[in-house]
Amino acid sequence: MIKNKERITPGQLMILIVQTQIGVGVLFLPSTVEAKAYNDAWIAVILGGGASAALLLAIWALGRRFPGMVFFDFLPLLMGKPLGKIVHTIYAVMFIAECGVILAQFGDVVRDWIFSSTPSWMILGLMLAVSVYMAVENLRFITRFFVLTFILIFVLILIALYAYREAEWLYALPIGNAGFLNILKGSALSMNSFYGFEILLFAFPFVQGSSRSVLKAGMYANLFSTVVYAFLVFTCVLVFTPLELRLIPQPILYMVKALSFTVFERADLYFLAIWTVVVLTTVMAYLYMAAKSVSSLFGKSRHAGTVPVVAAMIWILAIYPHDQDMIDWMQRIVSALTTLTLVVLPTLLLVISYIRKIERKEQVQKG
Amino acid sequence: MGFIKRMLTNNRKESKSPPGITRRAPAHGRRATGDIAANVEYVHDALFHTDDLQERSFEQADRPALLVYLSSVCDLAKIHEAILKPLLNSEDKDPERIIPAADMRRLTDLESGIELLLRGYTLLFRHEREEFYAIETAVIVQRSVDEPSNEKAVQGAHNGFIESLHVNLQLVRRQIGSRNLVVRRYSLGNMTKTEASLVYLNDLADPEIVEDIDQRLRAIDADNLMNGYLVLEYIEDRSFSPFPQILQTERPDRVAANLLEGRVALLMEGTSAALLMPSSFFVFYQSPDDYNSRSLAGSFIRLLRLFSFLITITLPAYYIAVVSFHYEVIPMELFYQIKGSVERIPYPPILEALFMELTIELLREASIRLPTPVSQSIGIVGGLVIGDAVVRVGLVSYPMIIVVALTAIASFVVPSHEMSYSVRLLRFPVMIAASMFGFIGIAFCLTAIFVHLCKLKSFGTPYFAPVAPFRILDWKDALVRLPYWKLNERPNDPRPQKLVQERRSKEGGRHDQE
Amino acid sequence: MRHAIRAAALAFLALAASGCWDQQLLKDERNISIGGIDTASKGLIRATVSIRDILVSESGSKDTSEVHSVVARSTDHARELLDDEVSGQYSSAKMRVLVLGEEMVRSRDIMPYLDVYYRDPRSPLNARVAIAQGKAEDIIRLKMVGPKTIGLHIDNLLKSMELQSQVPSVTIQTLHPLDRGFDFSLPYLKLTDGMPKVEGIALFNGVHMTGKLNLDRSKIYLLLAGEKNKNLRITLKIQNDDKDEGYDYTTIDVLKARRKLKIHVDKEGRPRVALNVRLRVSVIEDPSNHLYKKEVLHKLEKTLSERLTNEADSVVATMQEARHDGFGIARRIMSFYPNLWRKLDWKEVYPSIPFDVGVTLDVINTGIIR
Repeated sequence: MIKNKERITPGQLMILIVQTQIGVGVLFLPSTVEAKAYNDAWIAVILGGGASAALLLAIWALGRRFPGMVFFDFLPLLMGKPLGKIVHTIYAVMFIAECGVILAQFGDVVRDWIFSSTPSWMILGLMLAVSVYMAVENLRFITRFFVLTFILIFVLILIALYAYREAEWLYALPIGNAGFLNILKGSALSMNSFYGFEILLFAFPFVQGSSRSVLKAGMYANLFSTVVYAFLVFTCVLVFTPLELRLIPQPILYMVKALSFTVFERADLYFLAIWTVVVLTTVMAYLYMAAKSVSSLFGKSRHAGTVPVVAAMIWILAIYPHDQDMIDWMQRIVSALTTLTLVVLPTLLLVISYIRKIERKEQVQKG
Repeated sequence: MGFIKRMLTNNRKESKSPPGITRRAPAHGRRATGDIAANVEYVHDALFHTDDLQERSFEQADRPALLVYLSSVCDLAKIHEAILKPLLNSEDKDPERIIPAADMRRLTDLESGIELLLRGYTLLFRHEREEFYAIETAVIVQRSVDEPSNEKAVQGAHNGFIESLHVNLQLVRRQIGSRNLVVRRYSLGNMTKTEASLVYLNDLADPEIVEDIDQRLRAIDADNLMNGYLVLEYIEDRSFSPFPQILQTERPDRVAANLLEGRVALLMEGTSAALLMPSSFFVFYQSPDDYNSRSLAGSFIRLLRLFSFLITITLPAYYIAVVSFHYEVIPMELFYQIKGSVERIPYPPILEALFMELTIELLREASIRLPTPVSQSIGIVGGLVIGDAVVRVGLVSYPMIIVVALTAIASFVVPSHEMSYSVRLLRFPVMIAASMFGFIGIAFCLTAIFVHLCKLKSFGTPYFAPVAPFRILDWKDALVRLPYWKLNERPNDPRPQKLVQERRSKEGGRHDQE
Repeated sequence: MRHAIRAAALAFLALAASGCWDQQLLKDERNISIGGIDTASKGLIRATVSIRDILVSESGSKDTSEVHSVVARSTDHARELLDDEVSGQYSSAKMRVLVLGEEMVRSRDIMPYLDVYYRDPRSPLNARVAIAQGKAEDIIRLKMVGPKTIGLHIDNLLKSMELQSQVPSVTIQTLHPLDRGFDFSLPYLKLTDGMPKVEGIALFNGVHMTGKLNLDRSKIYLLLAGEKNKNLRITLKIQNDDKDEGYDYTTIDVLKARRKLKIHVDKEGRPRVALNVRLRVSVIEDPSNHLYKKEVLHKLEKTLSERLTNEADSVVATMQEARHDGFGIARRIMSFYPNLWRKLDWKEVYPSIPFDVGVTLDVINTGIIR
């Protein structure tokens, strides 16, 4: 059932998860979390990373009990066919909505920072067109591209490092200033940026190696994302005060903007170009997941035909909101959806699986 | 709707040849008889009484015999020496004991005889014998084994393939003495019947790939397969991709090196280039020069070449994006200078760029066809005079000239002619994307290109290996060039059967002791 | 189905190619290299700019400067009015220096006029800022200083002054004061004999200018702030003999400066600042002493130390008088004594905080002679 053509290695899995997780959050996360957790935002992010590690663990545990099966294959086994279909649809809707929100946020950044007059449907349309080109392929090719662009994350970090020339270390003090409750609120907000690990639901059966290696890859991936996000948030804490951050929705970009190097100025433009590719990888992954969900809903094994249709739906969703209120409203809905599908359901399904002892009989498979 | 269809297709008529003229060879051949005249008549008929079909009748051992040959492809001297002379001077009834020809075949099927006739064989018919002989007497006209003019290497062998399949195979066999070097023969093209040979190392090349190539070759049903390039387009994976998937080379040392990595070579009669498959992107960036110079130098040059790929594609686009959208990135000191140069140009930078690029392409194309004495002066005229005049008039700005010139230079750094074209073609979409959406446009376009590279496969092997999939160990020969005693394993992309290519050698010529 | 998709894609591309909405062709832009804001009557401002052009011709390139001045309601309104006056598209993306008139910063809040710099993505956040005695307009109307345009001249002037640790390094980006816990200071320009010169630095309390320091004392100020840049030379009078006055002065070059700032809070919640700077210097000019004798060297060190400490005290006094918290005392209290911070009324407390200032130095070398 699992063709050799689609196999990926654990290392590739790690990069797959990282690239899906790290996306729009690079720019939006610091501001969002600091609004609640003030100068302890970086602690909140680390806690958020821990929470997502736990969720990743739950998904892994589920996948381990059904070797060789993709999530949507064993979902009906756990919930029964009719309920399973409903849940399946919820997941498909979640992926489409999440992708739409990501694109809407991306479009906002482009509109605010570079192209104030270019219509966003154009930019988002191009974004989706390129993503469609990649997402019609199977996981192996997508992962190859992700590995290729992985290095760009380091370039972003490198650019952000320059901000330390003007960092004010005192801003981080006093630690714990915000209070435990606020830090927790901040962690909850940060979860949005850690979502992406659900790609494991689709990728698990394709990984060459034992389930232990899958777990290791997943944990390393989550750790990497946590470190990157925490670093970026920490840098913002050192450069901006909480009051300022309330005004600046994309602090990293703001910080990079004022950097001046000998060979170029306005490094934020380069940062944005590279960040575009990072967001592209996230969009490709979500498009793939959405298309796979929809196509398996209709019983198809190949998702290539569904991709353009799903992309069109996402596109319409992304260009629909035209002010901040609508985006906030969409984000709340998506937040509810993701909490349901990525926090509640996996744990629930895991419990069901254990209690009712539903699992796939281990088939001896040579890796 | 139907009207539009008719409008677009009304010039194409079904081609029907008049009846009676075409004639296909009967599928099961035609048996020769003891009647010489009947046989010869059949042959003349089959070749439509072509005038260069000659006969020579004689008596040998008191029996009538007849030689039939195509005078245009036969070496008459060979016929004299190898066939006529011995036959006329001998009383032996068995030609096989008389004729001192190495390639002599005994046949009964006239159709196969006719095939051989067309290749320069002479047919010997004897009275009341149903068998006849075909003796190889082809004329050999060939040029000398000179270094190919577009694939020069500074150091290394200076010989190259020529149009004779026989000589080319010889050159390859001389490089690799292994008994595992296997040659498979094909006759390609329904009308051209070109001889082709597939060459590979039996214990190294992936048998699946060899069979795949074999199938693709057999599946071609075309009239004209005269040269390598025609065959290439039939068997390659994606003809519409901008990137070449099969390496063409005229150098025997390159072919041999690639065979030793597990690739397969296709040599054809009449083509002085060998086709190497499967190829990856980085194979096109390797040149024999890298291997014949020191490791550091070779690595540096190789990295430079790969860098030139990026420059060719992105430099004009980057400049256009900066001058059209994002001029703030220009550093302070340079800013006003560039601004001053650009101010006088009346139209947008994308048009400037296209104008200059097209001019350079025209110059390049023209310089290929110029007779040698003139080409030098045209180069100067084109480069210096036109370039300078164009700026003075105000059609193009100085920075644009610099950008275009650098790009042109960078695009010729690639050792492969094919890849050079590809890369030069690719920069146009990127430029257009840059002129529409600035840096974001460049990001989108480059992503699309790299996605394409990731998806592309050459005979089942990933095209962009060892970058995607990421095999850092293979970088030792793709991105840099480590010393040979370090290259313990072959690169993975042609999927060779054996990875280990050298054992435990160390620097300084020492060998690891047990 | 595939044809429908292809047709849709082509239509999309055709639309895309039809317009480049955000194109800002470089050749159409007119870029200013320096801008100035002064007060005008009725709550308006006067904005003055200098547009720099380079004419590239066969004989080389020539710098020209074009000055415009308008009265406007706000900074962006000024941009609009300037765009009306200027041929081509007005752009401040490459502005190097922003000059503020003294009256502007003493009497009015400058922040609203800087808002557009923080909001517009194309604004030059790394432009330097300076205060002009009198009107910024007068400086900008100079147009050219020698062969350089006024913008270039002032920018280079400020850059070199920064390197010599005579003025702090400030850009529009670092000007944003919101609850940072320290006050900024800006270079102070004065027009002398038709040439703009840096006279010292202007001290700020919040958004208002409240004091000044001359060049000599600004060097000390920067030392105390821990912001010594590449070079720093101080010439001091160390004695008053009957001999020729040339023997009275010594010049030292500060190689390294290590500053320690500590805040002590006593039991009643009163803060106290201990500020110590340790310098490693080399003596550049010293005609009077023969420094090969160890005692003479030590005496010199002591004398210099006393002198510098006195200067430092007077600098701190001036700062406190101007209520200028240049060293970030507020930030430190916020970080280390957050409870205390909540109780303090900073405006009242700062001017009376006792400062213990000390400057010590070690002479490392004395040039090629003693």
